[in-house]
Amino acid sequence: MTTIHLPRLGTDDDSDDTAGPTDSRAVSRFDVERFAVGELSGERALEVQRAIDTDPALKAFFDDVKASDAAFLVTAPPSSFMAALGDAITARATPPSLWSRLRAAVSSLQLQMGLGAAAAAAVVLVAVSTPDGPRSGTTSKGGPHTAAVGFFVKDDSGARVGEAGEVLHPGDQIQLAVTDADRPAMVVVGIDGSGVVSIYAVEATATVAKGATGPRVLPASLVLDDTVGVERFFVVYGDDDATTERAVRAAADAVARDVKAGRVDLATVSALDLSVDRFAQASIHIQKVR
Amino acid sequence: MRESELLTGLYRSYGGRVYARCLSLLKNPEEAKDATQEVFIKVHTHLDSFRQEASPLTWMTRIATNHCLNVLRARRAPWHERYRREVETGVTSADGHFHLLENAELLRLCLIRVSEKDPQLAELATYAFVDDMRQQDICVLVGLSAPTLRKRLREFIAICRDELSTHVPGITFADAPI
Repeated sequence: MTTIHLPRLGTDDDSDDTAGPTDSRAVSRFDVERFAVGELSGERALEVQRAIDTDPALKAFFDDVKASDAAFLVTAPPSSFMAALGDAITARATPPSLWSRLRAAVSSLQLQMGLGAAAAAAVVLVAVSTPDGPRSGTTSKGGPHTAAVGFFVKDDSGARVGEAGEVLHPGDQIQLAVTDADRPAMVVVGIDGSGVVSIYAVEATATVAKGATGPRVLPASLVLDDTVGVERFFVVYGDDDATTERAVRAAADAVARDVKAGRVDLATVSALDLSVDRFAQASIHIQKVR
Repeated sequence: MRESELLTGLYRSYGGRVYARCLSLLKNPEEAKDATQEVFIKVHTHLDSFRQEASPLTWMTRIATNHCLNVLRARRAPWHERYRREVETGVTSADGHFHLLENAELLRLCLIRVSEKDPQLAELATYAFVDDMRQQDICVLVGLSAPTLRKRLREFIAICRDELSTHVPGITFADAPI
């Protein structure tokens, strides 16, 4: 019979959330790694150096870090790595293939037609030229009316329908269009590539009759800032504006934390973590490059 | 400094550490190289916020850890066989005992399993048990209090215990202070 020894972390009073750390080690292996790459300085660097000099295990670990890092740069030299990295970044910034665009266009036919009508109705806001249909974002069901969101890209000559995942640039101007779910309140939120959350619109029952008029263009247009990377816009419908805004902000903040930590790719986060019984939502993303 | 020069400098300083982190979790040199590239693509994307980081290594380790756990989560594996094989063939420590923290492969299997259920918990456990970060440093990195961190790490150990009990019949456990 095998016995496995598991780590024991002592016993805390879990209700006491103010107690300080109990990890009494002066220097960990991770500190040695930071020292090895030159991140530590001053007294802390001296402290780690002394620990390496006196602890054979830390010394062996330090030597291993230095040796493996040096070997890595020999086997994967910066010049070739940077060339491959440049290719990969460029490939990601390239618009989707014709086939994927066609597939998406077919699947979003309903929204395309709706957006076309909305654009025509909103001629005061934008002069629309739509040789191709837009690619819709993702949608979720919200009763008889399903939420959907798309956007127009505006320029001096008017506006054209944007595509999900479209590559845009800082300074470009876009305007969102939505198909309302059958709920009385709506919140529009954006999360950018650096994990910043922006609430763009909060509408309550009194201002807009949701789910009654089909696709519509939201009044305010957005000028894209210089944060590069994927930016995603979510439109969420709920029963009242205050509750919906609170829930949306909390869910968006959670996604933003994951973005900052590199845990998620906004290109794949199609929905906020919200109750499907209480909220309907849709989203669309763009890719910002300089 | 130009963007490309900054990225090249970061690669020279941290590329080896990022690769080592990826290799320790993925156990496959080619996959680790791909993962290293993914990490640097994210670094490129977040270069503006990166310039303000006090510890680029901590930040890049975090990105690498989460990316690798995502890759591992996407894999499907017959867990009972992998656990049992590792318990049967894994080496014991110098004291003659079988320590979870000193058996890198068994610990890795547990991390993968936990990451499927609770990705943040797997991330915390990786910092504590793979990177050997001090608890106070993890608290700063992830924004948790020390008691909450220890509570979460105890959850990780409990899940490991349940996993191993379920998949390796007859196994017993002992506590080892860390």
